[in-house]
This record gives sequence, C-alpha cells and structure tokens, in this order.
Amino acid sequence: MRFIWLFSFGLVIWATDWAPAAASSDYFPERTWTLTNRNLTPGSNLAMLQPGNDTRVNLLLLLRDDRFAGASSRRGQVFFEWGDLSSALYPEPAGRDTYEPYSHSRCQTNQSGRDAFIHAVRSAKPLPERERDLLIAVRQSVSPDCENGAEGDDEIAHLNPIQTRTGQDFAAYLRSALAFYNGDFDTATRGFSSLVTAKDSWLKETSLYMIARSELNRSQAQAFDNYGYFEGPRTTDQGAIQNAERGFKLYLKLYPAGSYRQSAKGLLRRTYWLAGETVKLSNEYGEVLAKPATTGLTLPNLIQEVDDKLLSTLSRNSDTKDPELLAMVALYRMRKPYDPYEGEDARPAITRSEIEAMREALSSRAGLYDYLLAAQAFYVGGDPGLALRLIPDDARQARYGYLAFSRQVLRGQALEAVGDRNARGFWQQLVSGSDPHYQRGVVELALAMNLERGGAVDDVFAANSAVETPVLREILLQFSAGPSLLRTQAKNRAVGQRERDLALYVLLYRQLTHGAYSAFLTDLALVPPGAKQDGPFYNSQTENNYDYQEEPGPIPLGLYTKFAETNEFRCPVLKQTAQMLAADPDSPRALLCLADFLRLAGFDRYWMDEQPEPGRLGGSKSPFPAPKFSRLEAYKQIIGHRTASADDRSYALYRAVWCYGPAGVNSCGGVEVDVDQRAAWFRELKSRYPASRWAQKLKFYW
Amino acid sequence: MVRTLSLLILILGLAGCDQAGVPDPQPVVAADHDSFWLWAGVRPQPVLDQARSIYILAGEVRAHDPAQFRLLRPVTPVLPQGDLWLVVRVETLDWQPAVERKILALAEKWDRPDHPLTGVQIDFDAHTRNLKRYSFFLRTFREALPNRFQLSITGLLDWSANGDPASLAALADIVDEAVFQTYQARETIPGYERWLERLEDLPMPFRLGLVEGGQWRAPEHLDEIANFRGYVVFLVNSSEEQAPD
Repeated sequence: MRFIWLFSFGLVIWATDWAPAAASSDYFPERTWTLTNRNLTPGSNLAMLQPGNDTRVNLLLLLRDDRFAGASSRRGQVFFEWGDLSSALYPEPAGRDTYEPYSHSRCQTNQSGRDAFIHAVRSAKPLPERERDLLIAVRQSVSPDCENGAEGDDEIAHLNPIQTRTGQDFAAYLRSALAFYNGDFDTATRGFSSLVTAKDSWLKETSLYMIARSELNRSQAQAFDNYGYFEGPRTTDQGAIQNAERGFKLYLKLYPAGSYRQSAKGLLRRTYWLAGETVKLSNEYGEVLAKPATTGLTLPNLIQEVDDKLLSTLSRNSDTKDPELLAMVALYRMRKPYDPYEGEDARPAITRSEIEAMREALSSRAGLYDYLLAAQAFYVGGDPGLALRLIPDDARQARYGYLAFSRQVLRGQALEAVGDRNARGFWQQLVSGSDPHYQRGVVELALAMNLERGGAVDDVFAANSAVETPVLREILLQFSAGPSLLRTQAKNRAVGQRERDLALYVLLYRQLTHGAYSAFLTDLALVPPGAKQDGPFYNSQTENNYDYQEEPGPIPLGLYTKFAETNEFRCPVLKQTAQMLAADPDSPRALLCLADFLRLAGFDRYWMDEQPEPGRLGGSKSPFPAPKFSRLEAYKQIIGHRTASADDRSYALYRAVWCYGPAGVNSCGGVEVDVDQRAAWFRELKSRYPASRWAQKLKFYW
Repeated sequence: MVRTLSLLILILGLAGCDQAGVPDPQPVVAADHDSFWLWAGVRPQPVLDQARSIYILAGEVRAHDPAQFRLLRPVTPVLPQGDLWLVVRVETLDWQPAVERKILALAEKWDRPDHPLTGVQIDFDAHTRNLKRYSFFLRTFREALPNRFQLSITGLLDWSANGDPASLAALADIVDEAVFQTYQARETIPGYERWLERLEDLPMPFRLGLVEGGQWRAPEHLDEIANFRGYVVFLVNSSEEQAPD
C-alpha cells in the first residue's frame, strides 16, 4: 500500500508549494513588547486572537481552541512565530523530507505512479509473463521530468509487440501516462478515457482519476506566468476546468474509499482555486478543517493552504459560512488598511455592520460573535467602552480555551484603554487560569505594563510578583527601574545572577552618566572580582528582536573596574576619575576622562539611552532625570572655562571637533552645534595652541 | 584609511552646504529602478520585463526545522533578460548537509543554457556581533558553490556602523556583493541616514535594498562611493492583491 501513501504525500506539496509565508517583505520577526498589535508584526504573535497575529496563527487558535502547546514549546515565552506554534502542536516526524526533485510539478507522482503501475501489472490477469516483463521494463525505463516534453517515445515503441487485450490496456495506460507527464494532455485525456471500461479494476479506477488530473493540468497550461505566478481564473481553460471538477467528483462518488480519494479531494480544491470558485473552495476548507485526518495532511499544512489559496479572495468577499474562516478574515480586516503608494486603493477596515451580518454563521461558536464585535469596536472603532459592555468579566476560571482567553484579554485591554482602576486586579486574577505555555506570558506582559505605567515597578520585583518571565523583568530594569530598586535587585540573593548583574550594570551606568559619582563609588564595590569586561553590554534578549541564535552572554561588569584603555591624554582608571568627580564635579580633567571612558568603552549612542516607544513595555518616563552626561556638553563646558589648563582645553577643542567626524554627524549627544561653531573651534585650537599635540593631530573639521 | 581620508576631503568641500536644500524623502516607485526582489506570493509586475537583475526567492530554511529546505517557488523562472539570482531565506546557520545539496541542485536547475543563473543570494539577518561566525558559514558555502555562480548576501545597515572591520573584511573576501536592507517589514528604518554615513568604509561592493512604497531619500554623494552598485527594490503587492500572512 506504499503507493497510496505516496500519492497522498504528493498532496502535501500541492498544499504547500505556494506558501507566501513572507508576505511582509523580509519577514522581520520583530517583538513589539506591547499587547495591542493591530497590524501584522511577524514575531509578535500572541496566544490570543488579535488582528496583528499571523492569519495562520489566528486560524489555528480558533480550530484548536482547547489544545495548549505541549511540552515542546517553551514556558515563559510571550511572543512566538507561526512555526513555533505549529511545530509545538504538530511535531514533524523526524527525518521526513518534503523536498523531491519534481515536487513542484505533476512529475512528483512519477515514482509513486511507477510503483503502483508495476504492482498492478504484477497482479493483473490474464497477462503473459513476457508482456508483463516488457510492461515493467518499459515503465522503469522512462523518467519524465515535466520540463522537457516528448521524452520516452523510443522506450514506448518497445510496447508494440504486445498482443493480449489486458497487455494492450496497460500499454495504452502507459502511453497516456507518458503523454500526461510530457504535457500532451489531449492525448492523455483521450487515452485514459478509453480505459474507464477496462476489465482490470486498477486500470479502471486509476484512469478515471487520471482523466480529471489530465484535465486539471490542461486547464492551467496558460495560467502561470514566467515566474510561476497564477494570473487568475480568467486565464484558466474553462472547458478543461469544468471537466476536471466533474471528473474528480465522479471519481469520489464511484470510489469513496478509493486509492486516490485524498489526492482527488485535494485536487478538487485546486480545481476550485484555479476556477476562482471561492464559495465552493471555502466550503471544502470548512469541511476538511473540521476533519483534517481525512486529507492526509496535518492541520498546519491545511491552514497554510488556506492562507495561500483562499485568504486573498475570501478577504475581499467573505463568501463563506464557516465560523472559523469568517473570524480569521474579520480579524485580518481589522488591520490598518495598507497601500504601498498611499493611494485610494486601500480597502477600508471591516465595519460593525459587516460583522453583524455574520451573526448567524458565527452562532455555532459560542462567544465568537461578541468577541469579534468587541474586537472591531476596540481595534477599528476606537470604542473600548463598547468592548467592555460586550464582554463580561470572567477572569476567575481555572483554565481557558483560546477564544475564552482572547475575550478576557480583550476586556483587560479595554479596561486599560478607558483607564479603569480595576485593570490591575483583573490581570492578577487572570494569571492563575492562564496556561503556562504562551497564555501566561500575555498576562504577565499586561500586568508588567500596568504596574510600570502605574508607577509601581517595585511590585514587579516583589517576592510574590506574578511577573516571572525574565525578558519582561530585564526590560523594566533597563528602562524603568530607579536607583533604589536597582540596588535592591543587585543585592537580591533570591533572584538569579543574571538579574543581579544586570541591575548592577544598569545602576552603575546611570549613576555615571547622571552625576551620582559618590553613589557610583559605593556601589562599585558590588562588582565581583572576576567580572568580565567584554562590552559594552548589549542585551540580545530584550533588544535584538531579529536574530534567531543569540545566547545570553555574561554581563560585563568588569568594564567599570578593569577597563584601562586610554590615549596620549593618559586618563586613570574609571574609579579614580569618579573619585575626582565626587570631589569636584566640574573638574575639567576628570570630565574629559569620564568622556574618554564612555567613548573608548563604546558607550556613544548607547542603546540603553534610547527609551522604548511610549506604548511599549519600558516606554514610560525614565526614572533618571535629564540631563544625561553628554561628551559634547562636557567639552563645551571646558572650552567655556577660560582658566582650564592648556592641555585640558586643547584636548576639549580637539574632541569637540571630532564629535562631528568623520561624516558631520554628532556622536557625542547634547545640543547640536552648527558647522561654523566647529570651524571656530578648529581655528581656535590651531591658533591658540599651535604647538599642542592635539592641534598637530587635527587636520580637518567636519 | 586612504579611502576615509579622501572622503573627509570630499565632505570638507561640502561643509557649509545648506541643510534646507535637502529634498524630502519620496516614496520608492518600482518603475524608477532596474533591480528587484521577487518574493513568494508577490505578483510579478511588468517592470520585471525590463529588469537588469532579479533576485527571486526560491526557498527557505526555517529556524525550527533546519533539516528542511522548503521550496517556495515551484517553477524554474524564465527571464526575458537580465541577471537571475536565486535567493534562499535563512533563519538558522545550523544546516543539515542535505540542505546545502538541495540548494546547489536547485541552482543547477535554474542555470539554463539559454539563460544562465548569475548567482545565489543568502538572505540571513546576521547580527553585527555574529559576523565572524557568519563568514565561516559563508566560506564553507562558497567552497561548495560552483565557481561560475556568484555569491551575494543581504546585510543589515548597522554592519557598516558597528561591524568589526576584520569580520567585514573576511566577508568581503568571500562574497561578490552585499545588499543592505534599509527597511524592516514594509517600513523604511527610521534614522537610516545615520547608518548610511559609514557605508564608505564597507570593504565590498554593495547595493541598497529599498521597499516599494517605502520612504527614501538618497544620501548626498552616494553615487560617488566606489563600491556602491545601485539599488534593489523589494516588490510588494498593493492591498487589493496582497497575499495576507
């Protein structure tokens, strides 16, 4: 029975060969660190229905409402990609290889068809041994590739001596099959048609199936452009596509348990797609999505097929009564309309009345209609109050399916949007019923944002905090934690070393760049003696939202204690610089050395100085008030300090000019100066300190 | 260093240029360009018929499934003219040996007597600090790739600003060109201008990748950078024919 499996296996390819998975251009899997994603952000899928999820994710959540991602998905994760979810729910068998040399063309069945043919010839009666051997030999000698036509004619000529009726039928089948692979569909259809009354039952069944397949291929001969893109139903041969539909239906009627039933069913979907029959196509999908086992495909593969073959048309006309498909399209149409040229083409987002028109079709899924109305009000209508009225509080359940969970999260989002003070308590209740795989991450993110915006970041780090996911805690330490919380966490033995080290690293950096030199010196003692100094630190867990491979590295606290790089200006180690600044915060030499530490250790334009966007976790106002130390401002201060030593002043002038080198763009922060000012500094260095090493080194200004 | 100095002189000559004279960014229009990326699910536009080069997504290697090469273009493209590049989207460098074999076999298939394949482009978002490992990976791939095919890579803008010069030089020895993406998803990266300042220092021929409909303003004197080879535009569908994700 191997060939049957192979035939259905071929279908996998039919199903997936047109995956436009990366419709969002380069598919940056960016994580947004916010709960409300109206637009597609690959990488920011959440375990709840939302317009910004991948449409495949939303459909899978709707269809596997009660099935949580199992042990293979990672706990404590907030965002995921489609592949993470689908492979967690449906692991691919190990070693399975879906790539075949002709997997993209009808030639994908050449090998399985050969095996089936040989098997049938061996079982056929009456068939003389000589003819049997000849048929098998000829079948084995042809290997069409579906790219170069007219292959195998010489081999087929060897069939001529065949005399018996059965032998001639098999020979006719072989000629038709080769015509099919060579693209001569007229000959193929004629040949297969002559065999539907054959005595041999395999020939009879297979030929009926092959007529439809031949007609299907005939119908699409002109429908794909040079790049393999389907040019639309109007380019499909209408007569042939109708024959194909009739043929597959007849086959399925006569052979409901036939060898090719899964293939025929799949090709019938392809037929509807090529014919532009959206209603029939969505009915087929509605049927097979409910019973994926009948297709020989996994649910993720079927969902991928829906995305490739149905969604683009369905999203224009919603021609379906299937509640899950309707909901997927409705969510998709809640995204902000997009048009690359910002013209009039962008189709408006879905309206309330369009969802109201779906009421009856959605009625079989309790809660779905209300959810979609509420989501439309929230994402499109800007009416969170309506969302609250539509979805009652139900945050105390022990567990949630994805739809019930989505309803509650949406209610929480609406509570936040209207500024309801019960939002925090709502999230705290919802935590306990959320599944640890993915669902809990959603609620933790919501709670973390609530606490941050409510000025209660300390609560995130309290002993009984529900916010356990490390990446959420790290974002808050980096951007929202003040000095006392950072110091507490730096010493907190109840948390892991990474969190302690990160808290200390952030604390020391902020103290150094916000003039808290004495406190810096006190806290510097917390740096462990063996700390590494490869830096500056870049947090790939919170910042690097597009690299798949980065492992968290050690936090280079040693930068603050060991970094000793300097130039001819000969600065001491940072600790001494900080001691000088603690004694005199305006000391020109110490300011220049602090600036050199920041410059040489790589802190110019440091990522930790760019607060996340206001709507995202960590995006509230920084607890370290401006001004942050800027090299340019320090140089200006020393240049303005007429009594500073010639050595210090000439170096400040040199460095100030270099702030704009080599491309005229300031890398030193602070208030910008124009090029005339840079020219004036350049001239002053040259004229007032002509003998200085800095005047001699500086050749240009920028 | 010589190059940097000549650039400084160039910029010095401009010091005093009036900022008000800089034009506003304009939407990227496909018809203004001659080189394109064609991704899976994107409708081929007529501009492709006159293209100088087309980078066509052929398949991908997904992070969660590094044993598979997933074919995303079921036909061998037939180009009327111009350079054809076979693009492989890569999420992980931990390929199984079979993946490389399949990509090489596909390259041979796309390389037709009447229209040879120009080369293979690896589309991997290698982070700046991982460039060394990426260059090892590319060296191995280059050795396996027949000499008649060129090797192109896509790159991130911050390589130019933050990439370790030794790693960039190692990459430059291996690849024939790099195409830098100035956009994320469909948006031009905010503040792209500041990355572009350092492009002069890139030790390899490069192009800049734009996204159709994205906002773009060419930095002044880009054309004077010796290694700059022009643009590649990522084509997108308009909202009516968009293949949703």
